[in-house]
Amino acid sequence: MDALISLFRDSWHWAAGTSFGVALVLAVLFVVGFISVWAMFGVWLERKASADFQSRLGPMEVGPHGLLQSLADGLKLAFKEDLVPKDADRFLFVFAPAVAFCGAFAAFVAIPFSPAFNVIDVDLGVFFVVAITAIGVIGVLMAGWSSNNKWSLYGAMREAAQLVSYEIPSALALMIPVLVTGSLGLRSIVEFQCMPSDGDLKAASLVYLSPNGWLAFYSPWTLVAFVVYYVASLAECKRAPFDLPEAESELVAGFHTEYSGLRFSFFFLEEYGMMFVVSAVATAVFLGGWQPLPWLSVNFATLGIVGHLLAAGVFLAKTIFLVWVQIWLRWTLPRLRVDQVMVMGYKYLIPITLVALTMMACYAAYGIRYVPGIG
Amino acid sequence: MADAMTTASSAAPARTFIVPGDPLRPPDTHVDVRTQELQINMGPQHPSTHGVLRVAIWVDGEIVTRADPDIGYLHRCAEKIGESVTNIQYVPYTDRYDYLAAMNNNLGYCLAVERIAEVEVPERAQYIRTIAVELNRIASHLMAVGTYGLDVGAFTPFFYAFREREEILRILEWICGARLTYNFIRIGGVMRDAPEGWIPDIQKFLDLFESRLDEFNDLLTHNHIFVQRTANVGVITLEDALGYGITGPMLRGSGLRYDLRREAPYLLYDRFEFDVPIGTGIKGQVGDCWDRYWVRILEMRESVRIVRQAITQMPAGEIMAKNVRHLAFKSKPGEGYLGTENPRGELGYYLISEGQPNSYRSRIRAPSFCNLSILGKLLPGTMLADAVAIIGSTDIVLGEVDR
Amino acid sequence: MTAQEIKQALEKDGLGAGLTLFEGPKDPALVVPREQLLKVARHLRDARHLAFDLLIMVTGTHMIEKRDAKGVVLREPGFELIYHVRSVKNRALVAFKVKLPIGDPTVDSVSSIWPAADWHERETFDLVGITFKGHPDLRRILLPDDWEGHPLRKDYAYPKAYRDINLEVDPPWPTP
Repeated sequence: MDALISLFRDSWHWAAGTSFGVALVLAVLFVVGFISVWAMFGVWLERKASADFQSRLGPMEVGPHGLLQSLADGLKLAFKEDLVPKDADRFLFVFAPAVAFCGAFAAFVAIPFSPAFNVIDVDLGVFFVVAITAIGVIGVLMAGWSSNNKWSLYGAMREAAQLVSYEIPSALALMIPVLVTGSLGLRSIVEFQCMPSDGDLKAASLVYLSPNGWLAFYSPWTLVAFVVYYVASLAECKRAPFDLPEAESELVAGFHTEYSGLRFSFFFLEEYGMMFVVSAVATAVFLGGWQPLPWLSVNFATLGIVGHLLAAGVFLAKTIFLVWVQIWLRWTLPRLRVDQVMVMGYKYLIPITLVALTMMACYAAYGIRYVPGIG
Repeated sequence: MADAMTTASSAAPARTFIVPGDPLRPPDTHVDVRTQELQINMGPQHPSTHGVLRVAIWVDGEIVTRADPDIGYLHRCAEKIGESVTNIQYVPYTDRYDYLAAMNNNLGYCLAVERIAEVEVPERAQYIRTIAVELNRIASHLMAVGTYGLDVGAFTPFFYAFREREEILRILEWICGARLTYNFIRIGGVMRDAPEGWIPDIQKFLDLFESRLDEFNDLLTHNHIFVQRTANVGVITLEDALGYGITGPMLRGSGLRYDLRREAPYLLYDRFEFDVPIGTGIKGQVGDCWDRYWVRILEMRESVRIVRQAITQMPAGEIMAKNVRHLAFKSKPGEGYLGTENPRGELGYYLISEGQPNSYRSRIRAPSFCNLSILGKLLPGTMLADAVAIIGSTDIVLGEVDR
Repeated sequence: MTAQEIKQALEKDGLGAGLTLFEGPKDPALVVPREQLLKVARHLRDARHLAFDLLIMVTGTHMIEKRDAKGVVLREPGFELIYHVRSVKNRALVAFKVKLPIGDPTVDSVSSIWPAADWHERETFDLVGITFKGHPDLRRILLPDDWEGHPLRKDYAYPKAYRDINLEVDPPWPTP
């Protein structure tokens, strides 16, 4: 967004004061547009991937290979009757999808698509993302309670327990890369991974070797952190095997049983938005962001706008791959029961993360490197 | 059918807790905590109840404290109809009870009538009946294990099971024209002879099926999460099983090797070699949900063996008895019970005939009806998610529970 | 074990009071008098050589009066309950009947002996109208709780309306 601001400032000097506002509006519109397009693509990807796993074809009619199917579904949802159950708490019922969606939507602000393409370069990126996505919990609770439906209430109760529990290993796992890089900002973590051996990022050649490489392979403890973060993020997104809150075969549809039409599509947007956010954070923090290969970096900034687009492309490719793995896991594994979810979170993930954090701190204090430095 | 969705309005008595280890309180202090049980209805519209079943569950948090199955939503006055229409006209009605194993229902009724009316069924017809019944058993078990995966949250094995079930339904459609409610086994024989190419097609399917079953096992049966969800859940002891009149894979899952095809053979089953699998508590306790599921998987293999033997032994000949037409006008008086082994348990027909073409009383002993009655004892103490797994493992079909 | 053998075994164990054999045609069955039902049933389950532990079915039938051509009564009106129980150990099936008079269709419940009888007896109560004394929870199972009448009786009159649903409508097919 700084680039946009400087763009406006240079060309429209008379509107220097308003350039921030205009840039902000444009950035927000971009993010909303991006989420909508992403949600459509995500739904299409899920339907096609699940069809592939189930030896069938998936959507084929609307558009080539069903690409426009999500658009048709969105239009259908928009035209549906707006139902609010008779005895539902009207204000909470209407407000809940918005709250849930905002939790996922606001986290997009901090994601570094490329060295210049990020809405705001948040210094506390990791902390900000973890905190903001927790707002989604409130939205789900509101939805479950206000529906005046015991099954929705069940979904909401289970979801509150699950999401709040899994925020702990998720945040702890993110602390390990923060320990390594010494910074909470997402862009700085990616830059750490792309850092050339002489430490000067801007003056590096087009293609160079960076000794740090992807944080996932930096040290065994960061690898553990990556796996733990990925699993915990599955629970955060309410994806199988942790999809109790919307367990179809048990609770009809869990907390969003009573929602129809556009309100229901908000929950969908929230789910796919969260999937993207957690995958994007995992990509940025563990998989090197826009770094093409583990120890091989490309200095995209020297290529101008094309370079930034290429960097964003690399970033998106990795993120979509992680989302695809999430889809793969959902359609393969059965669902864990609620006490098994809690056991997994508290008895397995948290101790593993704490041990990894301690060991990483020891490694950092004694300067032990897993991979001998290159250069 | 009581009122649906009644909230727990009656004040539950206050439960008292002893506060452990609080040094400021004297020991054995009772604290008053007023809690309420929540009554929720599972069904009649619910994705996991395998039909229109309503289970009124009282829960305390996530633990079920009381369960009361409420049936009758699919009651279609079967036994009253059995008294009004003639025996020959009643055969299509029998398809509709256990619609997933319709051949077995046809067979049970026709065998019962043939016993009372003393009709001799030709041998080729009996072999064709055996093949149809065993193929239907495989199809029914595939449905049971596929939907059980769905209940537990695994969406993909369902499609794999149904891919094989499609094949069987296609084979059965070839011979009788229907995929679900066949009306194929008639009083005195079968409706139609095996067309050209039917038997080789079945052999091709059987050769393919074993490897597909191994693939299904890799996908679901030994999956760690699935085992965690179903092992040690819903354990039915043998004593309970016998007391509640449970038969079929549920009884065999509790460790008793009891199969009516062996104990009281009907329809040439004494000529075939097959094993009767039982649950042995491999993954947990004997008689848990996984054991019942595993018995169904193994039974599919045994059915494949029976069909292979039936195909090799089948002679040429007639497919319908000679003197059946007169049953439309009169029958022989008598009353008798005949039990057959349905995929779900013992299906029995008790007929009282007074020489009229219609029965005086035709009573159906539905296995799912008896298997369901243990739910009131089995569910309390389990968690809600376990309740879904347990109901799925009973493999009920509401058509025959309610008739 | 045939019905004859079971009858002899019961008589040897001292429970033969009032026990008769229904010869057929087709399946023979023991006829147990109403007062002896619980004792006979418990003995059938508990005796080592009998061991009938798997209750298959409880059937109730409304028997209407049967007269032959000359008007001689062949069968009194009444109810008939028939129990089928299997023995797993002895690979046998026993069928025993209890005949009930038309004015007093009550009998003891065997649900304390075989818990499976719980639902079967509820169904018999629901559809035929036989009351079981000592049943833990005798209420209708298949029909709605406020249904009137017992449909499987031969003199059952179809209701004209149920709650606010009118049942006397013309069928959608042409009628004469």
